[in-house]
Amino acid sequence: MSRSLWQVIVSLGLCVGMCFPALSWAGDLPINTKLGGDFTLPSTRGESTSLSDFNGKAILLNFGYTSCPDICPMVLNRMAAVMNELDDERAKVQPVFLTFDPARDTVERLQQYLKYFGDDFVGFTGTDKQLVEVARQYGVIAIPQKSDSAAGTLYTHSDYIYLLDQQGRVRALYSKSDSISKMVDDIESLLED
Amino acid sequence: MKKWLVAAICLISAGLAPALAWAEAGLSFEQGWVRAVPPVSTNTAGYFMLHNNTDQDRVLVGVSSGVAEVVEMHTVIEADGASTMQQLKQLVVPQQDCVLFEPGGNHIMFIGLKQPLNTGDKVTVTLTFQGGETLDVALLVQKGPQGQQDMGHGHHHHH
Ligand SMILES: [Cu+2]
Repeated sequence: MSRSLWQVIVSLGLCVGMCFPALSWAGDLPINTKLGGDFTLPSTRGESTSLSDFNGKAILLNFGYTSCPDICPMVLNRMAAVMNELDDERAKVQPVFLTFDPARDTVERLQQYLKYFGDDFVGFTGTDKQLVEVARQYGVIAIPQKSDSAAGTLYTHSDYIYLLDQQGRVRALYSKSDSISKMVDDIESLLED
Repeated sequence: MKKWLVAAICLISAGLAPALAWAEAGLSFEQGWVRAVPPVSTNTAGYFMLHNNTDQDRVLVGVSSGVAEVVEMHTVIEADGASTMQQLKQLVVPQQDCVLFEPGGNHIMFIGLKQPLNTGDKVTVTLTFQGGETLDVALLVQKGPQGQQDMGHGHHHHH
């Protein structure tokens, strides 16, 4: 991944926290009009999958890389915990993971990795250029770091979980300190709309 | 994590865990676990609380384990809404205090697992301190901290 390409998105990434004033209200959860949007990429569901293929379902979305030893599996565990709390409503929610490390994260690897968190998890990958564009849409920060760690490339990255409504609009962002029960409550309120 | 919060956790855990060898002066650990990861994954992380019950600072200078090709100490630095992992060459455990290894903070990084770890397995990690002293910690492989929800550490400054 070219470093400069990712750096373009850094300043946009910083906008995640600050874009919240740009909201219009609908129900309990504001619609974030600055972040989000559709994309079409190779996924664990097929060679060309669009996020909008899941319209009609709420979407839990996050970005990461499967070689991440600490934060990404933690965030995926949190998504899995939310999904497990949903019971009957689980079928109305689509968990989605996007990698920003396509060199290591092939569709096959995503398939093997994500099924551990739930059979319904869908993983997206793509070219560097495609993934940078999606990261930009969602205000995601992801910068590969050269380190002397044996782990090879590690990423400086943001780790929000995005909640999208049944029309693919961003309705909430969750940081590591948000509780599982808050996410479940928000999803249930979206499903009632 | 805030320094005072770590100190408070150390005190609380000391109060809650009389079974620990508190009378015994020295280094001790508790709440040790390793994150269970998908079998395809060859990297994971381990966590625990390390107590220094002596009147001298101790410096953790090395970590090793037979389960992975390489074992490293890392910490996570958060800035501008993004997290960066940084390798630690050493870590001071202050006298009569403790240091926390936790998701999203200090962690033992296992790189190149020789075989997949299963939930319930015990992983032994040898901690080496300046001066050559060692401490073996046994970490239980599990999905999250003590069966609790995986919360990460309690940062609240992005709201
Ligand atoms: Cu790490």
